[in-house]
Amino acid sequence: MKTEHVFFKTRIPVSEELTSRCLNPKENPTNGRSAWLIAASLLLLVSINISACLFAIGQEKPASTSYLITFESYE
Amino acid sequence: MPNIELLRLGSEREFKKLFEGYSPRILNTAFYLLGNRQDAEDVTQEVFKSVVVGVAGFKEESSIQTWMYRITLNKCNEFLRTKNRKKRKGIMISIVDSQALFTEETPELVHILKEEEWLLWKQIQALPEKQRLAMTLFAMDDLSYQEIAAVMNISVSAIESLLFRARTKLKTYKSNED
Repeated sequence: MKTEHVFFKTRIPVSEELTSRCLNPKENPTNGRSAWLIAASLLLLVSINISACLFAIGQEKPASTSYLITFESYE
Repeated sequence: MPNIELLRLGSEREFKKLFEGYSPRILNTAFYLLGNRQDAEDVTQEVFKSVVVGVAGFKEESSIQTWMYRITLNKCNEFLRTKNRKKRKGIMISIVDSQALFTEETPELVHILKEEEWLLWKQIQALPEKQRLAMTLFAMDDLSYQEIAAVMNISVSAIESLLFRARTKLKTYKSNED
């Protein structure tokens, strides 16, 4: 093997499937897969937001406690 | 040579012309960089998608071929990074590792390439990233130094130096084998 002039001679042909995927992108199955991924991500994001809101609401102290403290401090 | 203006206007005929003219080169470059036909086909599709989206912003500072090769290199690097990240599974390895974009051997290549090409391909894979890219473009596509420099966005003298070092290493591998 001459490393001074190295060349690859083997070429793989462009398949009909690849041609179809590039020239008719509507038929491309990966597009459907990406749509599913986007939908799933959005759903996950919404669920996380809802959970965060519920958690925050749960963490809030009842209003009556603060009134009581204020009342006691006046006494 | 496709008409850039018509491509910008969304001409399907021009896009078909572009695809027919450049897809074999893009596919084979990706194939030699990734070592796998399926991955190379996926990257080729991504390259043509990027061309459709990006042609409006293509400033024609370089030829469309150079631009498309540049997109191909970026897509291949992106693909290998994602693949390597998945493979690491949380193990901390330096991102600046020069061998980070080392692709894995695939049995498919053993069957497709001739023995000499397979040996050469394996040796090229062991080179540092920039040398590997420059050598693949040189050995695969027979691009000129000027074209490789434009694709990799570095000077011609830097390409000369990269290819000189790559050849020296390949010769060392060869003499070690003998």
